[in-house]
Amino acid sequence: MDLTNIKEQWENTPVWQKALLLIALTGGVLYLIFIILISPKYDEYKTLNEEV
Amino acid sequence: MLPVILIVGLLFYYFYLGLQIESLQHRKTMLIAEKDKLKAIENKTNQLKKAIAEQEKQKEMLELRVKTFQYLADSRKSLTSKLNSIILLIPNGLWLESVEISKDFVKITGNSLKPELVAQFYKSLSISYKDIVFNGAEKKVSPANIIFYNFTFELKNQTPEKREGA
Repeated sequence: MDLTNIKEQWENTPVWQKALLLIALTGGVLYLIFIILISPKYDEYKTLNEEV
Repeated sequence: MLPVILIVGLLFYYFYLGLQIESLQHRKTMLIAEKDKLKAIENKTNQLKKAIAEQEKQKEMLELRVKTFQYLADSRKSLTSKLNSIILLIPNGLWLESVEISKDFVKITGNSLKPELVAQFYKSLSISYKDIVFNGAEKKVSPANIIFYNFTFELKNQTPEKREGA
């Protein structure tokens, strides 16, 4: 993988590949946010709601 | 643009959850405090209930005592008059050894210098009592050589007039 000219490589990449990459990256970030931040908070919220 | 909106939305949701959790924790603390208060009230109520039960017991005991005293006082009155009605009939020369008195029954054991006195006493008692059991007099001699007659009367069914008079 040649990392010297990333901008050129990106411009030359077909649109469908760009879209796929964006979707994959967004999905990954969303998944990480969900797993690290939201899931434990939601569990805590659920437990408290049941207690109250 | 859409990925940014999604990420921001997710972060908002994260903060919203944080606020909800804070509010729930506050509510939980309040509920725990209220629960403690109610527990304290319940404990006090239980203590009061116990105290009331104890007081009721004491009241019942006192009432029972009062009733017992009343009963004893009443029976004492009737027994005293019954005893008087027997004692007043004793002729000279006759003396009693023992008297057992209950509500419906009297047992008299006594001695007499003459058998006629026992008959006289029997006659006097027969006015007040319907049933008198007499099993005869036993002749006895005292250490000082005095002759006397030992007798026992069992009296039942006091006549109503005498009872009222008592």
